[in-house]
Amino acid sequence: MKSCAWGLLALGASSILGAVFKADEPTDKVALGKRLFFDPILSRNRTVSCASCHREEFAFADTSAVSVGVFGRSGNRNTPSAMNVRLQANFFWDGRAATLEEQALIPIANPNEMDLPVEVAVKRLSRNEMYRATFRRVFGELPTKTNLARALAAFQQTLETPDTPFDDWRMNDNETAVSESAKRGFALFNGKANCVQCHFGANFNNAEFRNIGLFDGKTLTDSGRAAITKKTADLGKFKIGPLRNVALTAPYMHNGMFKTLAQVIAYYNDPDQIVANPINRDPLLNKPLGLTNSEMKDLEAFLQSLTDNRFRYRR
Amino acid sequence: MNTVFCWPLICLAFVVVSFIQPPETLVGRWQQKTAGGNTVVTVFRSDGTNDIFINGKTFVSGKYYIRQDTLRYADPLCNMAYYGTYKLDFFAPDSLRLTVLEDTCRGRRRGFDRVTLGRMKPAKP
Repeated sequence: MKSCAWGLLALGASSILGAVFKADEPTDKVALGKRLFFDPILSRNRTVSCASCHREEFAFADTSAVSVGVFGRSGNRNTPSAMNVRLQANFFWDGRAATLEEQALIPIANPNEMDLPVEVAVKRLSRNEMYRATFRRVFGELPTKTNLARALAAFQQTLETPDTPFDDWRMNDNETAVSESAKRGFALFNGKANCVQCHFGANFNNAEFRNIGLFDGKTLTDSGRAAITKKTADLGKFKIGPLRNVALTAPYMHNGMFKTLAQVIAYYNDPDQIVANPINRDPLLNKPLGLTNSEMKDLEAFLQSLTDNRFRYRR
Repeated sequence: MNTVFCWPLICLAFVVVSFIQPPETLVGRWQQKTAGGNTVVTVFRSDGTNDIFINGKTFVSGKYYIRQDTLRYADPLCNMAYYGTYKLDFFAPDSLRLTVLEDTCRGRRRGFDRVTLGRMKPAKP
């Protein structure tokens, strides 16, 4: 009788646990994409997920100059934020992916990141009971390369951050949303500092690639966009980085060489002081900006105001 | 005072005011949906400043003035010192169409020309 009772109890418990587990299963494309984004199942040794390098608390970027992938392998470039990607025209520092779906699969196969051929990842998901059921429910079919990319992209498309003090100031005429320093910084951004020439639009970047002088062929050797286009004119060009949540995404630039926003601003103020003999640098940076210390602080205050409130309240 | 002197002064004042005082009809919030499913909100303030937002995010902050039925608009993306000129057509009390008359800034022209905006109703408190 006792063993029968225990058996019934175990059966009941497993049903309850099963129900709980099922309730936790993703029910739509976005939820499935989120599950996949945080699941190390997509890496060769099941230790690295997308979220290992795109860390939520840092606006889905990383805090190290280059991220560490499977087996402790280092990547070559700084991890960009995975947020605010809906309006982006290209992806990765060199723009090698034209769509979010295309982008989503590349880190899975990259030997320095997750090192799992996408075909193997798809097979692995197909063998997993939860994923098999979820892909069937969401897409009406088993996991494929295409629907894996669609799910990951769908989740990333939800990571938009329009709720910032800066937008509150502009949209609602809320004069107290940002400091006077940030307001001066915005004026400098559009004026004397000329940042707006490249950083404009909803995410403060655009679809262009620019050489900001971080390629000298000696110590700074990442050729950037040129490796994709094979054009000499693209040597040292990189995607213009979006600035939303930029205060959270240090270190900066494609190689993570600047640890703080202050260092970034100081570089733009007089690039020759940091990199003496750049190759193919954009003429926009030929003349020092001549910003004062106070103006540089104002610019930084403006950049700080681009941090979404979801991160402010969490702190 | 001699009316010969008064009338030119009045006319001059009228012209100056028409440059610096945007009419109430344009001041406010306007909205459009793009083909890509994005929501664009344009705010024209009575002080002659303007902001454009895409999906709630500030896209650009510019300045404008009205002269008769034309909008003169400048922004830092195209050059704050250069004003593009657009014809304003209030074809319904809550609807506005912009048509380019002159604007050498290609990106802005693409975004503004033949665009229809709907006036947003004030949010309830």
